[in-house]
Amino acid sequence: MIPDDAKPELSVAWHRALASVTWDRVRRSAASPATGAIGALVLMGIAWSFATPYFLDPGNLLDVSRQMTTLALMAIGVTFVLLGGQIDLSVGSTYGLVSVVFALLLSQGYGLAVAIVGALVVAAVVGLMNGLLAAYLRLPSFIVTLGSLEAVRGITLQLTDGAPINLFNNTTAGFATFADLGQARLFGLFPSQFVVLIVVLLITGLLLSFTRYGLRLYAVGANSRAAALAGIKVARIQTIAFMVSGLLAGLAALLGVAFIPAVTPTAGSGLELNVFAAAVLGGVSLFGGQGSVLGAVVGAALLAVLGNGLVILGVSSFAQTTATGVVIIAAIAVNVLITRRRNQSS
Amino acid sequence: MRRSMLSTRSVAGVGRIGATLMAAALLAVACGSSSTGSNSNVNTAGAPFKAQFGWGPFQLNAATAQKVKSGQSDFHFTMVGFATSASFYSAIRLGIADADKKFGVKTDLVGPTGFTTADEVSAFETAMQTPTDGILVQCPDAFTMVPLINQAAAKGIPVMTFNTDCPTADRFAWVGLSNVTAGAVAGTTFLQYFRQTHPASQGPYQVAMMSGAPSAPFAVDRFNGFQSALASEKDINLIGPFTVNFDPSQGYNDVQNVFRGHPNLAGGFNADETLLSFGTYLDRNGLASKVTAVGFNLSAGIPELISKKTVTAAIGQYPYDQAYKPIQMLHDFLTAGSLPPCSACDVGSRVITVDNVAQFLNSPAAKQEG
Repeated sequence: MIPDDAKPELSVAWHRALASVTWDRVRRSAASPATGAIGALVLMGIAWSFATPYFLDPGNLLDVSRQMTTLALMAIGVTFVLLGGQIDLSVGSTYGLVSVVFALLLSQGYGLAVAIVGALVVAAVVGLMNGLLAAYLRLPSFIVTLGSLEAVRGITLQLTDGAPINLFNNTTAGFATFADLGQARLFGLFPSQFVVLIVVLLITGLLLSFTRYGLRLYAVGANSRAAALAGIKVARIQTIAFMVSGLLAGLAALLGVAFIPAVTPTAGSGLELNVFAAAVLGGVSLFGGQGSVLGAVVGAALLAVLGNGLVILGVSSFAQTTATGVVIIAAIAVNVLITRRRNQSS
Repeated sequence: MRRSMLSTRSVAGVGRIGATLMAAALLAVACGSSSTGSNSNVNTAGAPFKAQFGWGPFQLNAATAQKVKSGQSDFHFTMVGFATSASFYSAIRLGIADADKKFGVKTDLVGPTGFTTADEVSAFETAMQTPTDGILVQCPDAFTMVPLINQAAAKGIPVMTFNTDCPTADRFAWVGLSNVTAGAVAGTTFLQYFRQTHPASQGPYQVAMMSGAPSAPFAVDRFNGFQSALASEKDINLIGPFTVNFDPSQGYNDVQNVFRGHPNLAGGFNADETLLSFGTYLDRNGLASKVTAVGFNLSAGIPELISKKTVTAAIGQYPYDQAYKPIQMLHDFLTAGSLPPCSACDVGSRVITVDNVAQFLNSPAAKQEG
């Protein structure tokens, strides 16, 4: 029993403790790398809005929301892999292969459903192969996925003989609707691709935050040996992450074909670099166990806004390349500093 | 040039030597109108074993010479290129396949799928070290491949350049397209159509230059040609170059951003197949009648946009011929001792508009354009 006269003191202590916990939470979230990326995004938005009247145009902002979708979806996928302590360099090639498989299946008379499922199965298989080699056989994922980046691109080029595939006049039942959906806007405003991104963000965010799989993925990435000792099947968790990465690259590819029904076998070349930049800008650690899908999406938004503003301002494409590199380095440096400070304080 | 190739095909059934001589004669006639240099300073005495070029003497390597002496004609050539995954190369592959079949030779296409010059240099070095009866190389610029081509020539390997030239190298001939000239053709075509809706009195106008690889030599040359054609038009302000991704859906985003920053854009010039993204943007935003669009290549979707009058014109560059003809020239040299009829054989460019696009809609002609 607590004496009555002690209650006020306890109450004060309790409130102090509660305030301290709450303040600690605020401080922690303010110090999280994702928040840094959000801050950078806001700052960049403010800078662009002063620099050009076109940036804050609602139409432009909605366009940017669509433009970032491909990068954001793939960054979410790569976030899964990074959280699990691995790396996936093959996403750009997977994007290209899925586009081509989908287009070839349609061109050869298979139905839309077969083409979609077939393309996504291919995406999952690429992820599965990466997972089997990197997680089960414990080959370095950097090397494995660097190899699959080349191999998958090679398969894509062989399948097409380097030629683009035209689906503009494809008459497969349902394809016109599929393409219409790819170009549609919800309530006449929000691009369908952005809506898909939000849905994927919600699902993956919930998956990582509130399921056993999410908890285990973070645990594996933070310390795979400890996770294994705790009974977590590390290889399975990581392989699933690779498959998620492949599937989301595949989904991004399908949305791309739905938007413009023409496929080039080089589609997605070099995209992996931007995908990684987006994830890391959003605070996802390259060493596993830290980060969030929201951060990855913010990182993608940051890159999309950066590119959008530079083009609107008429900066030459050569100077844009330099500016993009400098901003990526600066933003990542800030994130690393924030992370170090957080680790020191905790 | 086109006519000469078709004529060459029509002589099937005639003896190989006769056919190749006839083809060489036809090529000589055709090249007269489009080539920028003749091979009149060469001495064919002793060819194919020996020949005298403007750059010096050439002596065929022993292995190939032995093949020629024994009457073999199943020569093995190596074609070294860059960006071999570009849509342009699908027509190149078609040209290789047809030439190989026609002349009974085997041509391997090697080289990086991207624009990595170092990888192309490695591919050329490898080709030189392996048994080959001739090398065809696409020069990434005027200088990089020169020492390697000279080494190959010194080893007795005949070298042709295709698509883009390095004119100071010890090569037999170049078959390709002058990108500066082609860019100028694009500029002239652009002006012709642009002025119908944009009189000089109502300017100034903004015209954007775009490419998937704006720093690549082919794009720089085409931009330069385009600019030169518009140099005297004081009311036209050229902006860019802007990077437009080769992937159509990603490229659309880039075009969208260009229009956000320049909403009154009156025209666009794409130095490559990114014309598809530009045209699609015009199509979806009802800008076809306001914006003049001219660019290069006829890859997927572009002929359809031309037929809808969304894209004004595309410049074709005969990529099929750029592969077929140099293989034919190498074959003719080794089998008949005939040297290329021109030292710089420009295949020229053709302008495809709504008036002549029908032949490129889902037809073999479209495949030959890449």
